[in-house]
Amino acid sequence: MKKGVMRPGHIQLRVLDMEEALKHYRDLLGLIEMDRDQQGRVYLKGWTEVDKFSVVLREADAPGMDFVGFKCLSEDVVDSLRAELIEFGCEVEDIPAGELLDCGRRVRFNSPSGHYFELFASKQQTGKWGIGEVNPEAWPQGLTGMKAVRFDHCLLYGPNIAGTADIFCKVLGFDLAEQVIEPDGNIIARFLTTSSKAHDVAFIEHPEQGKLHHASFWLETWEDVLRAADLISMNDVSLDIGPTRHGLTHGKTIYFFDPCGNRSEVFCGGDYHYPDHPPVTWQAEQLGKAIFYHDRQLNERFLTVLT
Amino acid sequence: MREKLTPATGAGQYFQIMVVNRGEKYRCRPGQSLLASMELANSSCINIGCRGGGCGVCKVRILSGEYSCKRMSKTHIAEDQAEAGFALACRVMPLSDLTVESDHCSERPHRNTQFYSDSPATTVGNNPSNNKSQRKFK
Ligand code: FES
Ligand SMILES: [Fe+2]
Repeated sequence: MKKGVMRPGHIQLRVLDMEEALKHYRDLLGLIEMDRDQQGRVYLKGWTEVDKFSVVLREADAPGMDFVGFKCLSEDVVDSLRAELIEFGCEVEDIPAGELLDCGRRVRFNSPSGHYFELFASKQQTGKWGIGEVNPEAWPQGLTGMKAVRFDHCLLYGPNIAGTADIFCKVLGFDLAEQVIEPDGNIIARFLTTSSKAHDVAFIEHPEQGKLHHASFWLETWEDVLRAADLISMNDVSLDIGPTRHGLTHGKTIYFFDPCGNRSEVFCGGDYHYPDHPPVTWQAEQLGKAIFYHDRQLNERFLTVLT
Repeated sequence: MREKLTPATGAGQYFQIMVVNRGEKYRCRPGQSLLASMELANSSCINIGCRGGGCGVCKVRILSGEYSCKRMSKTHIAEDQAEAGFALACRVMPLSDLTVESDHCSERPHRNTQFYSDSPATTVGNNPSNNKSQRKFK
């Protein structure tokens, strides 16, 4: 949080059918439906999240990610980073307060990998869902499905991730926590953090711009990941791979797809990072193990199935 | 009294799917998608991706037969393509026997060229969802 960017605050995903998507994000993942706006967008969050929402679903004719937004410490931070982004060469767009319900103004910027990102500092805080702020219980009753705890990170695919990572590291104060390097020194995967998490956003080099690999939600235990796998089978949900462990970040994970093909992840555990830590490095020759620690083999889907 | 056990799939109608470019055929029950029935038949003559009409990996061209289609990503099936019989197998519900051609997921770069190249900063394929808002990065 060297430059005042705290965490991933929201992600807006495009879906082909809103009611089908809600069966996935609300009923299966267990996110809480918080609101709907006049455009028909639906706002959700994991139950521990204090801000009003972290996931926004928008019905569209092609799935994928519209943008991911990062919450900053203050409006002053947003102002100064806005100036630095322009200085750095980004195109910046000011989105007025209220364009997302109960969210303050946002500064949106583009990137060489073709993704759109946002900075904001103000969003209504409704508190953790289902438990009080004083003498809080351990968890709320009445959660459904996988009981996702929070939106955690996303993995994005695009060209020139070095350029995008530069924006995050040089302008926004993120650290490179983990990376995959080819024999010639080319970095093909960059996992960036602005906290002590192993990643707050991650990038993999890919020729098509602006692609989403997955949006990820945190669970507490391996038992919860296995239970998520059971729910995936019980509900005949499209499974990608898992439960397994990643080499990168060492998280314990399962990948699956929403009803229109956006990949979801639920995971637990994994590495932590402090600003004085050198990046954890995986060699590209060990890419299979880096991605799927047990299989030690990459499946074609990990590299080609994107939205 | 216990109910008499009947096979879960039941007897009755099914459609014959012919995948000409692979020289394979399999059966599809009414109400099943072209891709799901292929998976059930333990075949791999159509590539499997997200199974949700989003990734384009299962793209096929339908040469003959009747079918209906759930909504598909415009990134992979533009309107003129749908009219030409292109479709995403995971969203196709056969309504008769079908003759199809698989392996139409063309613009996808192969794994090796993808990871072990200089990864030029160019856009591959046309992605309408990007075009609308993609501005040049200075
Ligand atoms: S498998 Fe992804 S579009 Fe059919
Ligand atoms: Fe992840």
